[in-house]
Amino acid sequence: MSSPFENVMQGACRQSLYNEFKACSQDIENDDPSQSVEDNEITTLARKIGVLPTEYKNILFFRYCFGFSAIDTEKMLQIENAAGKWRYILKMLSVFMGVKDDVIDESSMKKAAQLALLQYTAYDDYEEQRNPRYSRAFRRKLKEIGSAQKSSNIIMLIANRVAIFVLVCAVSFCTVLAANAQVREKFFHWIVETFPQFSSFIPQSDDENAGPGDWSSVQIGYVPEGFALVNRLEGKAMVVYEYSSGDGRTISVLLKTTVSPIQLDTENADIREIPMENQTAYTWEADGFAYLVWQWNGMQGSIVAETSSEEVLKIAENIKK
Amino acid sequence: MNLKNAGIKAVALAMGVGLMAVPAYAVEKPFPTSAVASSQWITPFWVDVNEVIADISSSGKTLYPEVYIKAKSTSAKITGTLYLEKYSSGKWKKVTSWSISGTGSLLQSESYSGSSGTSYRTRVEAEVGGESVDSTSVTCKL
Repeated sequence: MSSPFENVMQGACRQSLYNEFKACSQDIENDDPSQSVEDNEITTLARKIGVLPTEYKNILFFRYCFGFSAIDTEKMLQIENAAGKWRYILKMLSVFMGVKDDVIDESSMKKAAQLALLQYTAYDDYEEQRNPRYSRAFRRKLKEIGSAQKSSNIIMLIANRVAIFVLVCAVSFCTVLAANAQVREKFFHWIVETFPQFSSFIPQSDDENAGPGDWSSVQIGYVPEGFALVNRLEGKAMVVYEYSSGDGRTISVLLKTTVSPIQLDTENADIREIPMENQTAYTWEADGFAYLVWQWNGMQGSIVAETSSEEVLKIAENIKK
Repeated sequence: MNLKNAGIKAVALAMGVGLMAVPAYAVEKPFPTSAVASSQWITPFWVDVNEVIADISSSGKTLYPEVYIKAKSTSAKITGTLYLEKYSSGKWKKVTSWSISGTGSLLQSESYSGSSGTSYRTRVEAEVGGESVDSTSVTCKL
């Protein structure tokens, strides 16, 4: 631990050294012959000071505008050899201004430094900083730098690309599905086949197989006016009665004993439930046809007709066996 | 720029979800669980077709695969194939097939002698006036 006497001695020596440096810098100033610069060239000199590197500008400002010594300048700016750098700057500026063997005098340097400081502090580039205008080449460079920084994490980069690809594929697929009925049909068929528990209402149990139906006693009790039977198609488990009118309209009545699904056109249709003989029937219109599906006497029935829904319902209600 | 990128991604995601909802809307009609609804399957696919049924029934060891197709136009050509499949080793395999053809509508019935204890089903693939249709029946176990 240093004694108070030693601390005092250290402080005194430090001050003495400081005074020596100050004297040296003043001696340097007094030795060099100097030359003043014309008033109309002060602006030029100020402009030259303005384009110096920041450290050099600060050395001149601290000396000629704020009156700091070289030692103080070194302390304030945290630099070394301020005096030597000042001499170098002074010589350089003197050569630029055409003062060859001499240096620019103190008075001219003061005027120019003060003018340069004014210009330096008066420059308002805030707007430019807020909204910088970069050239296209520079923007491209910035982008490359940004990409280079991002690519340091390879996993995130790959994940990003994969996510974009998946998103584009999903959107494209959905657009195709929405626009193309054929693709939609195949897709839904695949869905139904693969996930029947979510898309089909077919009974799970197939223990009781339907057998052939007895259609001999079936009678279609009501047929709309103008329609006549043109065909009767009989299979083992289903029978179809086909009617036609003079103007080319058709009615088909189907009855079957099995529980296999009936696929009918319901696109954009408003399906309505209607009560019918203690059951619920379903009816809708689509594309100029009226449809009815219902259960009757242990059988399934469907009617597709180019008539009104009321006529279709009347046909169904008048089927007898 | 981060906000802009996030906004673009959010819009793209919203579009994707919205478009995915379109096919879902196509089959969104609620299907009640009544006796009729539980045994029928109404699907919203076609432009040229009214009705398609692939059916199967049995009597003893005889199977009766059937198909009924009705086109919207009485002059529409109908062509295709009726398949009989059996369930074996976790898969459906083709047993035999028949050609089908007609105009406007067709109902075709076939017969086949099956094996006891085996599950069978009918499947039809057809072209109706240029439009493809297909349908599969329920299973029938002998």
